Amino acid sequence: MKRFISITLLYLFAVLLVVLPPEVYKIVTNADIENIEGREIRIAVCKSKTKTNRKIRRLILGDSTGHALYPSANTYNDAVSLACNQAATMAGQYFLLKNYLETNTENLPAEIVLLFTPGTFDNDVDIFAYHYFLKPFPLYEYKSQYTPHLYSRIKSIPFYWTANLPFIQTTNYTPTKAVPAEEERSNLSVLSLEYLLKIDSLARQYGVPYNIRSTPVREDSKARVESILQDLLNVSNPNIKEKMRGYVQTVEYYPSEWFFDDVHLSPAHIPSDYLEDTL
Amino acid sequence: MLFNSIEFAFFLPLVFLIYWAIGYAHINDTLKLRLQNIFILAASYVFYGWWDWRFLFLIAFTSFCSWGSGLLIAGANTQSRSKAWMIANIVLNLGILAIFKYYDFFVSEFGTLFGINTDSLLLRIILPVGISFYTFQALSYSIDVYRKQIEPTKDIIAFFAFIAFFPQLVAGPIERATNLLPQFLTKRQFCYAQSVDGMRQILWGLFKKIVIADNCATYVDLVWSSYPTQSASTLLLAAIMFSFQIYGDFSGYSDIAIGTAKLFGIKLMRNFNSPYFSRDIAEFWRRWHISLTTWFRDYVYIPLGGSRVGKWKIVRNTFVIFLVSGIWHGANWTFLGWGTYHALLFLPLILLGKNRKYTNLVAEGRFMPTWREAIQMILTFVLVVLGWIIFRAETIAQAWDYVQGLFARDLFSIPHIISRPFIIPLVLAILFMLVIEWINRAETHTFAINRTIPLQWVRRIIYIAIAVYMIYFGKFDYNQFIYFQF
Repeated sequence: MKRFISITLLYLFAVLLVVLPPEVYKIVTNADIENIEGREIRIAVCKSKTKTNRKIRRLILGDSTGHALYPSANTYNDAVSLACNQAATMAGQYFLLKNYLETNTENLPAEIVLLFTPGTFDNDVDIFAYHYFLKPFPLYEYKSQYTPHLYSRIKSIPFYWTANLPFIQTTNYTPTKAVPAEEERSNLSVLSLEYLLKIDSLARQYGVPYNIRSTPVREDSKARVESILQDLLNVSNPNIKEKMRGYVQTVEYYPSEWFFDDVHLSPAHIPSDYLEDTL
Repeated sequence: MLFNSIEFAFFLPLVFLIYWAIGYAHINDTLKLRLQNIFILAASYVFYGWWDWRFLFLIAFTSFCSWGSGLLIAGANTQSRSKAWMIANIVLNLGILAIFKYYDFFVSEFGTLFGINTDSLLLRIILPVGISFYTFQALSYSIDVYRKQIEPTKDIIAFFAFIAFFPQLVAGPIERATNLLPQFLTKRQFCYAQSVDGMRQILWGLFKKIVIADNCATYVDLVWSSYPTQSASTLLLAAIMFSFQIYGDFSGYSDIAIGTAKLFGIKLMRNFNSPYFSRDIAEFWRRWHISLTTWFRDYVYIPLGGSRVGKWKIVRNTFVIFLVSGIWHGANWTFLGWGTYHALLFLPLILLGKNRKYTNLVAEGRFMPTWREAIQMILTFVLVVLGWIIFRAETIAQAWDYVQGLFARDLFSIPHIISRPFIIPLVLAILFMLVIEWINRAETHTFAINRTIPLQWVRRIIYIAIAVYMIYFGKFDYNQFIYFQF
């Protein structure tokens, strides 16, 4: 028995000896950072904490459809884009906005635009949250800004606490069961509403006007989208209701063949400056 | 709990250490055995309850009824009473299985057929993981007691442990009471060679699951989700990939299960024997999911008369065995279609008396197969691949569409591959698996390389290389074994 255990441990040690050095090297030097999925969120986090040295007219936040229109890695004349991914949740959008406004108190943008496809508001922490939310927004830094609902959703992800371990943080690793407990789906999730309210009061606090705008939507999904919009308009909070009214008016239907999937425009059909073109 | 999960990586060593700590404790052998059985039962229930603890009551109920029926069958005064108890247990177990697995399907199909709205009649209950496996294991016990092939046991703990033994609880091999139950009733001793062999088999099973099956799944799922727009060559590649996915997934699970059992001094039956090296369909069925095919052979086919009856009855029996085998996999017409397809392939062989033509080892005594054998193996593989399309499809119409899509002009075009860094390590892994399994085709399992590769240092390098390959090219976020759903 002793021999069996010793030899098993020796094999484990030998495997670690082969595997660990290159992994440690990658972590220490950030050599593998290019291959991490959801880089756009990490880029957005970095940019949100960076001082802008020019006058900014528009700060753009958004999901992946917004990111397709205004990639966060690009530089714009009078705009900054922190648009990233819907998996970052509305809480992630709030954290980005808060970071940016706190860092650029002296140089606030003239307006904030939130660019979302209608389906984004239903995110109440999904299966991607371990990688796309917990890793770029570490618990130790953002937990104090969690609402009880967000915390309960995060706690329902098995092994959520491992996401910020250094050797997991900079990898694509996700535990096999990183799936939060099922919640009743709603087109405007509890989480989205909570953090839209926070975004609303944050924008008021800094005196920066904000708008929620829709990215282009497939023509053949009109029926589904109309029903989502109806739900969004049913929100009871008057401030958010007003913003949602504005949001609904910005929904534009594009030919379905212009999209390469349910929500993303094909590169050939992405307008050069969607907001300027449509405003 | 999944074999390829972090939880299991902690669970297995812990259970192993406590189990053998009991085994080496200074207490009498009877108490030691009893404690080991209690512990293995508790560990098995934790293993299963990790998924959904509520269904533990179902396993306990099935175990209790089958255990009780064994005593009642053996204690009955007359043969007819004994038979009645056996039938009662069969009806009860199959009834539970039918409710959980087939009820909704048949009710909704009945509704569709007669244009009735059956929504209010549907139960919509979750299918308990592994229900088909442990139900069949429980059935084999009462039938074997009735046939006097095994004495009924009064030891309820040993019996419960036999039904719930965690390595094979959720996806087999479906053990016979005659093989597994006596092992829970006799003293078990730690055997170094057996444990090393078990570790070897676990490593091989993980390799097949994490590297081959789960990577193939990525490709297969991608192609199947958009198959109408894919080229014929891509559809063909995805069909071949699915063949390796299902083999890697299920035989990988079986290898891990058998290897894990060996660590606890328990020998489970072989479930796969290099099925893709078969020379005809009959040989394939002697090598694929052996524990299920032999179960159906012993408890369905032979009682129906097997092949020692008239030709029409042979046809009937063949269809029965393949159809029940198909429907065992799930409540869907595709599984029945898959069973029918294999029955049609099998029938000519059995009617011509050629179904046992290849019971020996392929290329026996030689390293390479003859051209004839190679062609036979390839043809059998092609037939099996076509069958897997029906198996993988969600509907018969989808399977038909997919097969039609295969016969297009672009069959000889270059198939769509996700990327070279994805496909090359996967193809290398599949080739490596085929080579290793070919070399070891005569061994007790396909990674018993201690005989075929006598140099220890070479074996050690292979073990470490496989583990490293798994870490770099394995897929750790695919959280299901295909056969769990059955």
